[in-house]
Amino acid sequence: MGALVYGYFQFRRPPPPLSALAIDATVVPQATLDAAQRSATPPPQPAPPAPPVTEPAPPDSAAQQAAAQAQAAQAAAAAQAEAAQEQAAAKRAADQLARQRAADAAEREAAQAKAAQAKAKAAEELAARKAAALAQSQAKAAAAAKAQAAASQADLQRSIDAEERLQAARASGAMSTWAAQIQARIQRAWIRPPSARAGLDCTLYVTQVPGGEVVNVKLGSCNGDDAVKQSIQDAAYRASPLPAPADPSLFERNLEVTFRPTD
Amino acid sequence: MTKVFPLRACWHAALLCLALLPGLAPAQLKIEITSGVTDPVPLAIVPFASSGGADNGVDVAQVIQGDLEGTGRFKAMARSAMTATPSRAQDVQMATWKAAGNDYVVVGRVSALGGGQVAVDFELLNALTGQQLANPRFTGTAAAVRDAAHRCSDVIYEKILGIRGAFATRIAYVSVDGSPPAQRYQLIVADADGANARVILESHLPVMSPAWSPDGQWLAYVSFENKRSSIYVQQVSSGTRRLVSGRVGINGAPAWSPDGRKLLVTLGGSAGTPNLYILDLATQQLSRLTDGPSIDTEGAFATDGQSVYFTSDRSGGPQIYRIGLEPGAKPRRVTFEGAYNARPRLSPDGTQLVMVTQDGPNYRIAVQDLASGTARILSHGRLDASPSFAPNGAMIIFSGIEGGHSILQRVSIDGLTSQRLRADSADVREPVWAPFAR
Repeated sequence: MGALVYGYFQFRRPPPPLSALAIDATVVPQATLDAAQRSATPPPQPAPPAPPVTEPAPPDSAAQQAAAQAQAAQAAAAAQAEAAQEQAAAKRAADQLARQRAADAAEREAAQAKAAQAKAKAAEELAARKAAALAQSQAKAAAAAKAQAAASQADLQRSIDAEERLQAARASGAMSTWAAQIQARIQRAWIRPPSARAGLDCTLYVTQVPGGEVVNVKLGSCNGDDAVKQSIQDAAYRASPLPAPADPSLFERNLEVTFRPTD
Repeated sequence: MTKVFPLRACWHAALLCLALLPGLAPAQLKIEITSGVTDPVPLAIVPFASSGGADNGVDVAQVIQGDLEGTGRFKAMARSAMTATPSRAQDVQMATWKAAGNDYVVVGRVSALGGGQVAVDFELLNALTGQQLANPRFTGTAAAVRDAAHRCSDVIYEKILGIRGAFATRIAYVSVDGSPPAQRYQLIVADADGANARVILESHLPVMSPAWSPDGQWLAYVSFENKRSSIYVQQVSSGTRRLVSGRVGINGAPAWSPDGRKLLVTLGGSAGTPNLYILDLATQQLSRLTDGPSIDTEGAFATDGQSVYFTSDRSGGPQIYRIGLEPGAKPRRVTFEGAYNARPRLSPDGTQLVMVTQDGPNYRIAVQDLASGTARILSHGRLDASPSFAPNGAMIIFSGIEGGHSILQRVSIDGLTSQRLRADSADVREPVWAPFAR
């Protein structure tokens, strides 16, 4: 019986699991899709290594050269103080240049390293953010799905409750009472043409909205003439608004009205 | 009675139902309608527009209203309640007319076509569904506007009730005024609503028993103009006539055969007991149908022409009998209720008999179902007589007494609606409804 009830709701309204999916398709999908796209595309590559910089001679070798030159000058012409002074000056100049270059190189290296570190850090942060976002959206989706499932469960429970009330109402005759009220109203509204005699058998599908207004009428099988067909369609519209059920939960949009005069 | 079938009963088939009937929403609640009402259909007949006096002074909408309301099946909206008078479908604010309680709206116009011709156009609209059900045009001379109006009524009647209208048909009747010996008898042909009356025969001696030929072109009648009864047939349009039976004794109660070639007549002969004969109009050959000492009269052919219904007192009081046309056929009694049943006439579909029946001290019009034998009394007068079916079988015209005068009345076949036709100071009687024009 429970399976039947469940099957009834499957039939009556969009099945809950499908419904959850359907809601995913409208609400979550953007995030899910984005996340999926993000994880599908390759993550941004770290910055390529800096191109090699043309280095001046390492400072060590420049110093040795200068020292050798000084030793040679001392040995060859110590007297030539002027020359030696010049050479010393040259050496100082060379030393200074070398130091300067070495300092520049170190500075550049440090800057490069810093830049690389920053890049790496940025990449790491980005990745972390993405991961966090992904995780968050997944969590959100999971939460939504969970909520949905819970809601569906609640829906189902409510529907089952409603159906049980409906069954109870039917059993208590409220539905029959309502049907009888509709029947009486349509019978009063049906102006029978003379050709509508016993043996007539026509089915009319009537759609009403809450409040009882007849919004659509569709003729099914009918063995009457054109005037009869017209009269029964007119009857449904003339009967509008149809009486409301005592219990609003009994309301049904769709009525199948058969016209079978007995006299 | 009502039957409620919860859908639960067919759950196992619900998906199959859906698959088979994708266009139909599942009906949750089933309701069975076993009766209806015969309330008049509410409709609005908006006054017709007329350009340049094309309507010849005829209020077409009023004529239609009179026709339809006279049947008891329609109730027209009062003109004073109309807030607009559209004459074309596209100008009709359907919601307004529907809100005023109308199921249908009729709009139309009369226009001159030149050469003395006029056209009457109208549209029949269903205010409930918004559908246009008909939009015919009738053309004719200005003098025929009234006839066109009746044709409009015919269309409306048939579209809504499913029965051919008989408004554009005619009736014949006898009018008598003055007092003896200065009496004036007139044979009159008029529209079915009594309008357009014109005299086709006038005499100072009795005229009686008019009968339409099946094609509606001729009238047979009895005239005493030669100081004794004679049967004539007269072409209505031309006035041409000829004497078909002027035999010794009674020449009475002519009735046409369905093929129009023979007349069923009552002849008395010198013996004085009237009997039924069939007279061949082409050959003047006469054949006897009934005999015996009883009075046999007021014959009428069955719709199929194979038998004849007539009044006879062979069992004492007048009752209706039926006799086949084959040689040696014996009459069989048809009416058994009451002491007096006379003057039978068949319904156009041959299933019913209308007659005069005694109802207490009164004589009234009754209809008997031939299959079941049950009879219903339709009229309420004291001395109702001469019933005749409309060619669509929906109404019966007869004569009755009111204020000491004989008047014409009509009653619907269900007995719910009756009306008196306009009558002058003269006595009008023996109405007979013409068949549909062929």
